[in-house]
Amino acid sequence: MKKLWKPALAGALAVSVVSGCGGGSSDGEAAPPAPEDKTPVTIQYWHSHADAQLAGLDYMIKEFNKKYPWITVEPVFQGAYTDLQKKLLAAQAAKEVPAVANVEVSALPNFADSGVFMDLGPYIKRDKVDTNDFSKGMLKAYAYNDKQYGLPLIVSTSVFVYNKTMFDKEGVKPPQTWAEIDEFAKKLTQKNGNETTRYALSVPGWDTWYYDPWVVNGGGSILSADKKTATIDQPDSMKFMKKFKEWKDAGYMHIGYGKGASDVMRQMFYDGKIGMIQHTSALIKMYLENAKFEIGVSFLPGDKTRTSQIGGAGIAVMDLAPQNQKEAAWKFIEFMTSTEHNVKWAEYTGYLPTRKSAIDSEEGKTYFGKYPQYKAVFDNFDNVQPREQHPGYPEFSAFYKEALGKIVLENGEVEPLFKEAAKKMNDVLKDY
Amino acid sequence: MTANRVGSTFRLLVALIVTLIMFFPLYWLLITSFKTSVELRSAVPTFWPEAFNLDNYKAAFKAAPFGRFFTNTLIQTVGIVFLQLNIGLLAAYAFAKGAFAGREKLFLLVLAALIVPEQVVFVPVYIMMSKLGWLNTFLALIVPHGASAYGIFLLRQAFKSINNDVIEAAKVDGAGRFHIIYKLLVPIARPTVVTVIILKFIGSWNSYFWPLIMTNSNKMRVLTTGIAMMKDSFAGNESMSYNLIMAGSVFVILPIVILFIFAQKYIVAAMANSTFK
Amino acid sequence: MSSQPNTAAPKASPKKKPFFHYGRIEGLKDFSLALPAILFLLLFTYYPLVNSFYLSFTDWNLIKPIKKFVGFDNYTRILTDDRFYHVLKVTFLYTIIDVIVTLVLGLLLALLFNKQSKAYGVMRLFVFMPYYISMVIASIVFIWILNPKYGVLNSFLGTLGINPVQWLNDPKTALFSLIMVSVWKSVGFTMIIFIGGLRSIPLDYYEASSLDGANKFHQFWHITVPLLSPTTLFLVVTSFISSMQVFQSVDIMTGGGPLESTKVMVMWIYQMAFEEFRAGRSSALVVIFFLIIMAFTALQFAVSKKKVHYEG
Repeated sequence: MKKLWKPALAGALAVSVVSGCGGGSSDGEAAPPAPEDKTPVTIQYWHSHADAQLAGLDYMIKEFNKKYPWITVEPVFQGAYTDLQKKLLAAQAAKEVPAVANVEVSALPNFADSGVFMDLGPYIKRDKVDTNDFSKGMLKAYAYNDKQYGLPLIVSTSVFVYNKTMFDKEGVKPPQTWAEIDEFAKKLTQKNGNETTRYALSVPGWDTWYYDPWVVNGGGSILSADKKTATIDQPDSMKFMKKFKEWKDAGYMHIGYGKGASDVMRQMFYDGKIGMIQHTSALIKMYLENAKFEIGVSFLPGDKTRTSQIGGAGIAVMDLAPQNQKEAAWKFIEFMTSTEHNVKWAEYTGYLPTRKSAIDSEEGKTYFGKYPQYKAVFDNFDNVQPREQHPGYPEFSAFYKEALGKIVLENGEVEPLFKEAAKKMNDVLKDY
Repeated sequence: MTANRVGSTFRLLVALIVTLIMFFPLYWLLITSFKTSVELRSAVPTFWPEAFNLDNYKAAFKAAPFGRFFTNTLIQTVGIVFLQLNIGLLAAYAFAKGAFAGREKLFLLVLAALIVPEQVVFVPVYIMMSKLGWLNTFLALIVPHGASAYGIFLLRQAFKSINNDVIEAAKVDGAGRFHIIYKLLVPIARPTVVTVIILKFIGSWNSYFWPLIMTNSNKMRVLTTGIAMMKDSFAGNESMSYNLIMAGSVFVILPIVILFIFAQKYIVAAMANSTFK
Repeated sequence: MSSQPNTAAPKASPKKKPFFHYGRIEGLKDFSLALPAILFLLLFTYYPLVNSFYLSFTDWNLIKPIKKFVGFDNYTRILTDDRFYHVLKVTFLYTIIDVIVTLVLGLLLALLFNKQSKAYGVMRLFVFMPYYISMVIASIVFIWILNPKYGVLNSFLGTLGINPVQWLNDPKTALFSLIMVSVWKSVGFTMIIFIGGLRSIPLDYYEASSLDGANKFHQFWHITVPLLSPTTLFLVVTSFISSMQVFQSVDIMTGGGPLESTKVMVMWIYQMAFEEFRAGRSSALVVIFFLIIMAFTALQFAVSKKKVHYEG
């Protein structure tokens, strides 16, 4: 008993000392001095890593423990991003939080605004983490109001995955611009009377993340520069939707919508009923493993610009956690995002390596040799941008998603529906 | 006579078809749990698995600690049923046979609780639990469900239909209230008591939302939240893993189905009392 | 069934007596037995409701430290929001169809299965079984059965020459699909309760009317239906309340979509608080929703006063 009691007391003292010094950390001025304290500490990591990524997580935690044997990490799966977000909200409301959690890009502004996440800036400075080693877009995605609240952990972007075997047979190449799509689609689409039996391409309608870059590439935007009004109903912003409708009506394009639509799209692709699908780069590995044909990957075709947006999740420290846990949590995210295991982690999870130094390393080169498909993503990496950052995004994005849904499912007209969506979005924006 | 016979054969036939339709989804669950991923995607669904492979069960068992989930579910369920039954019996006696001012108004207050869904009250309760330090413990799973308006209602109905003379006679013999309730009324109202136990057992065994919110750790998960997490976790892998999820689901439903096959006759007997009289 | 509804109180007439008389002490003792139940409900049902009422006047988002008082803003915003009326419509549509289908089918099944024989007993067991099954699992099974491409239902309809239905992915069929799950799960329970009701109708009513030459159909309308009305009222009220509160199946099967076609009230309340970061406004919706259910439940009792026959 005595043995257990002593370190516990020492730990408690250390904590109080540390938190005494760390008072300024929330102001972003100075981080607590690196404590050499090795008192055992346990931190909970709430995550959304699906079954396929768990082996990778196990590996990383084991490696972490070799380096920091006194820190125990308890990973807890809390469901998909939105479910995790709900759990975090509840935990914050109850003031009983885990030390580390995943955060999905679109939820960051709300959490950051309400002071849920710790500002990592002072720690980054203290431990001299070279943030320039991350791609700029990735880093910016987890910053809000000039403060770094998280680091990119599992990064993806949406790409076109195509059936290379089919493309070679038909003699087509993936379109690089919107203008090329018509001809490409005409060649690849197969019809039986009026009914399409093989679609040239498919775009997911179930998540705005997939078509936000289309809005941008058409020269449009979702919100005005001052983020006070919706611009989704401007001609350039609607351009993609009009194109989508044209292609859909011509029988070229399949657009999935609603729960379960992702399953349907994947299956149609496997069955050779769609030539090319827009999907997250995180699933490239899955397609490689499951498809019976050769898989190719192509960056999104562009119009006025050619960009794609960042997806996946970052990793952040909860501000309400006790100071000793925060310190351990920081060590954990530093480790999880470090160059050291970056490529290995990417290979395990199917997400992208995040560190330039890792990509340039020998290990990185081997990785690209093994998965040349990922090269298509990296060649365009400077064109991968953060998403629209606005605390109202989860609410107002539902309006133009619904407009798209009405066009897809009920053959609605683009302009009136997008005008209506913009009006509803403006109502929401008034609150911010 | 022959017309009668045709009639009853026809009735039996209709009843059989209805039974088959009603049972089909459960049959489908069971059958799917044995199928391979390839068979799952066959163009025409197979109504009998090509082979009874147990791989899905092994995979499901490996993916989640179902033993732990089972124990947690059992503790939660027994705790809730125990509390609800005892609190319910006392309240039912008070509202059926007691005499105090405002009795009917208070009973209305109890009944009105029926119309409040748990999804709209959980935030304040959640915060209350956290202040008590009860989150992630069985206390948070059990205590907030301590009283069931529906249970009180059913028990009150049963007690009301019991003749007062029985109670008065016991009182003359010097019996206290607890004695009257547990030794006298419970045996008479046995079908209802059993029904309340059964209904509450089913409800607690299958409750999903509450344990989802009140617990945050793997150790405290129950069967329903465990299976939902499993579904989410597999969703990322490949498009369809219904065979695995169904195998997991069998663990969730098997105990309760077996248990209640033996209890149904009580429910039928007790439900004759289900009116607002 | 043995006492009149209006003389429900058994010790009906305590007369005026001194303050600490026997009856009052006894009354206090009786009351104390109801106390645990009342305390639990106050703490875990009514206090949260009052708390919601308070929060409904704030702009709280669950996580920010300060709640700002916004007056009736949340209420006016909801009541002027088209979505509110849409959600209300969906909720009532779901409830009305669900209640009617479950009750009518439940009664038909009760008439069909109300037979004392071993075979019917076993069949009743199977019809009632879905009631044991967790809604989580029922939802997942139906997602699979209703899968447009590999689902067994579309495959079956295909053999009848019917084109694949999109079920949960089509705004026209999604709500119907949810009702299907609900009916499947609860019709057995409704049947059991109706059988209980049927068995409590004294047989001599039927015998007497048979002597008068009434046929089965006539008996059904003039004896069975009226004498079942207390049971029916019970079922209408309880299934109305539980249908209005539908959430789990929606959450798992459709998430309120496609195109908000299955966005029911509790789903919206939940999404507003936890996905759109508007706990304050969501609380206002809780209050409005509570008042709506209460009003309609009261209405059902009021209407039923004239229509329900309590026999004996």
